[in-house]
Parts: sequence; structure tokens; C-alpha cells
Amino acid sequence: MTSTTMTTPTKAPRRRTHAAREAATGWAFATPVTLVLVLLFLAPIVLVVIMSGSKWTLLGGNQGLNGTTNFEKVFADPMLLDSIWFTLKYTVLTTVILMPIALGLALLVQEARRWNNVLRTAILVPSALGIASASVLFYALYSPQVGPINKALAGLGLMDQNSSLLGTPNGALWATVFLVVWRFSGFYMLLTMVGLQAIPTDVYEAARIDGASRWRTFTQVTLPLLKPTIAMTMIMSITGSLLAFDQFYVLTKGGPNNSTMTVVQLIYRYAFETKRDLGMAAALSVLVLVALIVVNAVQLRAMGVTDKEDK
Amino acid sequence: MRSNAAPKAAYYILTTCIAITFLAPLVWAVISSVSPAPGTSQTSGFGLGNYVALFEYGRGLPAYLLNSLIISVVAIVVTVLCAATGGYAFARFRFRGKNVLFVLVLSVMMVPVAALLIPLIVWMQRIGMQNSLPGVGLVLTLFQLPFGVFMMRNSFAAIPRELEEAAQIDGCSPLRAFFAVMLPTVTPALITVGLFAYLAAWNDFMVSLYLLSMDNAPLPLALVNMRQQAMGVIDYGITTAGVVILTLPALILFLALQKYYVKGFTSGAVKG
Repeated sequence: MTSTTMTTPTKAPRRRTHAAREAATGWAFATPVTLVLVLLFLAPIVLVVIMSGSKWTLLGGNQGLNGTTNFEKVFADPMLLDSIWFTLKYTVLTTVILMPIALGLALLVQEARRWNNVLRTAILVPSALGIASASVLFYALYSPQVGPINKALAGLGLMDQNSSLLGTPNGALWATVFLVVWRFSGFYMLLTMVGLQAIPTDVYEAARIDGASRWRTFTQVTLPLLKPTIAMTMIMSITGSLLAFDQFYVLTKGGPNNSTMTVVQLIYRYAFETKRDLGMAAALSVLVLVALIVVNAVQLRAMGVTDKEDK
Repeated sequence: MRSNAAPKAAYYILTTCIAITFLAPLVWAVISSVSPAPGTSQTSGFGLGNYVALFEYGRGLPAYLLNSLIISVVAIVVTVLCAATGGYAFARFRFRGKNVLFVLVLSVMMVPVAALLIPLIVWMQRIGMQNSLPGVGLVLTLFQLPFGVFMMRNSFAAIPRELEEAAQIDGCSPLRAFFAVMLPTVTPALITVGLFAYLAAWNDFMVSLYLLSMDNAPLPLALVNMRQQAMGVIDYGITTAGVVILTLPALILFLALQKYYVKGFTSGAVKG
């Protein structure tokens, strides 16, 4: 990282002007990024901290500092713990289901066969949908009036003919998990395939010469070498699920009976629905921000990818 | 020979089932959008009635599409510009503050969009961009920066320095060398960065929901709103037609550019 170049005294002045010119050009090229970062990243972060310590309503605007009142109000809300608990449950469920499916699909379509190309494309198709529009689509698929899924489940005797899958807490949770797995499997499969391709073929040849079985090759060769990829996709899945919003906003609106309220939905509620209190929403935003930075730091360390990322 | 047939058949049955699972919801959307169904505005026969109805729904399909297009164009142009110039700066030049800036870019990854939206409601107003479509495009650009800058930095770093030096000896200014020599050699990476910026902007819902009023809604926001609005009676025909219209351009680009971003991911993974 340290870039100390040897400078001989006699050539110092010329080298300095060269370095200065290089630095100026570098900064010139870095200007657009810097502008976006300062204007839309640093400024809002400073502002959210200020807002979290201010009485600031949606319609009334800034009414001055009020210390830790917003945080106290957030912590006093019984919905907070419920939403944290639900978000964690949803995150574990999604990740535990998504990871093996992505790995399995990647192993399945990895070989270069003609049909595998078609299959891979089919699995990737949902990745082009936005989460919100995918949720709108599944809202229709799950509807008791027109949706085939609801009808099929009722036909199998798994649920009542007239009730909706989204009408029960468990049904709503599983319906959302299914939608998310459908939408994201392809993308995670793609990332896993890239990881698989990075494993050199001679490692497999060596395993074959040693007479290792398919299962042993998988557990002793593929999995360990795939660890960085698995770590990366897992972090993406955990982070994404912890911040779930669109799918719940569209499918359940947090219901039934607030049973599918995620933390990020709570921010929206504070700001626009129940409280119309931007100060409270800002306080919860700060909590989410800090929590996520901690979660990411812990994940990076636990999975041993920090060193590589630093490079 | 015989012992091979059973696993092979099992393989084809399994993979066919998988393909159907992933394609079925969208196939259903297309069928549903052209068929008469309970609770839809299309009452008789198969046809494009739902699409015609969508054309006139609310403020009209063209208005929603135009809003989506404005957000996407701003996001693509600014993301590609920032990623290309920023990536070049990080790959080639030594300047004070470079490492701080690079860490700052990567730290955007750590910060959730949702946590920034509350201050952005206020901040966009301060900088004169309240209820602004280009404003939403810019916010979406921010969250493309880590991927974009990282990808472009790796791509530029992979180009031998001799290429620019030769151009500069020929009398090229740094700016001209960048545009005429460097950029064309990293086209696949640029396309990948642009594609992902487009997908994020075209499909965005949450940022629009926070920062735009309904009369400035892009298509995803309008689509969710039309599901929300009609309490109880939802026009699934129009809704699925909307999903199809919204998905089609993204899907076509996503599949057409597959070879670029698969290649991009691969080179990125090797660089790591």
C-alpha cells in the first residue's frame, strides 16, 4: 500500500512537478465519483445523525434538537422487538434455503452441455425482474380469485378454498420466502458458477487419480476451494434479507396482524404511516446503519475474507 | 449402456422440472395478461384488451414508461461516467487521498439504501431536487458505485501501461488517451456496469416511493400503487400486463448481454 518511490536529490524538482501533474490528473478523473459521494453519501449520513437527535416531523419540518427522545420512543415501541425477531427469522430461513439451492443448481448446469445452456438461461430469467414487480406478479399468483398457486394448495387440501395464503402469518412468511428464492436463485447460481470455474481442473484430476469418490471430491475439494464464493454469496443474502422491504410492502404490508413487519418497513411506517415522524424514522435508520456495519464487519472477519478484500 | 439410461432419464426429468419452475410464473403472467379472467377489464375472448386498458390507466402507460426511462438514462450515464473515470484514477494515478476515497467508495456497500432515504427526503429538497426523476437516478447511481468503480479499476489495471505511453508519445493528452485508447479496450466491462445500473434503475421501487410523488411515478411504483388502490377489487389483467411490459426490455437486455457480464464476473473473481 505504501508507495514510497526512490527520489534522487538531483532530480527532485522535476520529479515533483511530474508527481504534482499526475496527482492533478488523478483528482480530475476522480472528480465525478467524489462529487456523487460527497453530495449523496456523506451529506445524508451527517444529516441522518442530526435528524435522529431532532424533533422533525413529516409536515412540520425541523423543530430543533431534542436529545435522545427519538431513540427512547423507538425503543419504547413494542413493534421494534417483534420486527427485529421477524427480520432475523426471515433472514435465516431465506439464506438456509437459498444457499444450497444456488450451489446445487450451479453444480447441475456447470458442465458444458447444450441443454444446460437453456436450463441456465431459464433459471436466470427471474433475475431480470425487479423485486417489486416480481412481488406484484406473485401477489396475483397467490390470489384466491385468479392465482393458480392458491387453487393448487386448496386442491391438495393444504388450505381452505376461500382463504388466502397471505392471510395467515406462516403462509405469508413462506409465500414471501418462495418468491425471494425464485427471484434470486439464478443470480446466486451465476456467482457460484464463477467460483466453480476458478477452481483449477488439475485438482480434480489429482482427486480422481487418488480414487476419491464423487461425494468425497465434493466435500474435500470443491467445498473448501469454494469457500470465498460461498462466503460472498452468504453475506449478500444475509445483508439483503436483513434489509427486506419491497416484497413485504407489496405482498403483506406487514400483515396479517403485523406478523411480517421487517425493520426497514418500520422506518417507512414511522416516516409516512403511523407516526409521520422523520426524527423517529431517522433514529431507527441510524440503528439499522450501525447494526448493518457491525453485522458486515463480523461476517467479513468470521469468514476470513477481510485480508483479501483489503488488497 | 443400460445402467446409464436410468440416471440420464432422471437427470432430464429433474432439469425439466427445474426449468418449468423458474419459467412458469412469467409464462402465467403473459397468458393471464391476454386472457379474460374474473376481476379483469377484459371480459370476452383472448386479446390485448388488458394492454389497451393499461395504456389509459391512471396517468397512462406512456407517462409511466417515460418516467422510468428518465430515471434509467440518468442512472446509466452518470454511473458509467463515474465508474469509468473513477476506476481509471484508482488504477493509474498516484494522488493524495486516493486510498481514503477508495475506502469511501467501498463503504457505500456497507450502508443500506433504506437508512439513507430518510435524510434524502430532506436533503434533496435542500439541493433543489425534490420530487425529481433525475434526482432518483442520481441516488441509484450512488449504490452502483462500489461494483462499478471496482470493476472498472480491475479492467483498467489489466491493460498494459505501454498502451497509454504509446498514445502519449504520439501526442495524445491524458483526456484523449482515456477516451480514444483506454475506454474502447474496456467496452465489455462498461457494458456490464451500464447494464447493472439500468436494471437497478428500471426496477427501482423503494427510492421512488420515498422521493417521488405519485404524479411523477415510474412504472414499478405505479404498478404497486394500482394493486394497492383498488381495495378488494384488483384488476389482475391490467396488473399482469404491466408486469409483462416492465419485464420485457430488462429481460431482453439481460439475456442478450449475458456473455459480457459472465465474462466480467469471471475476470473480477480471478482478480479478487
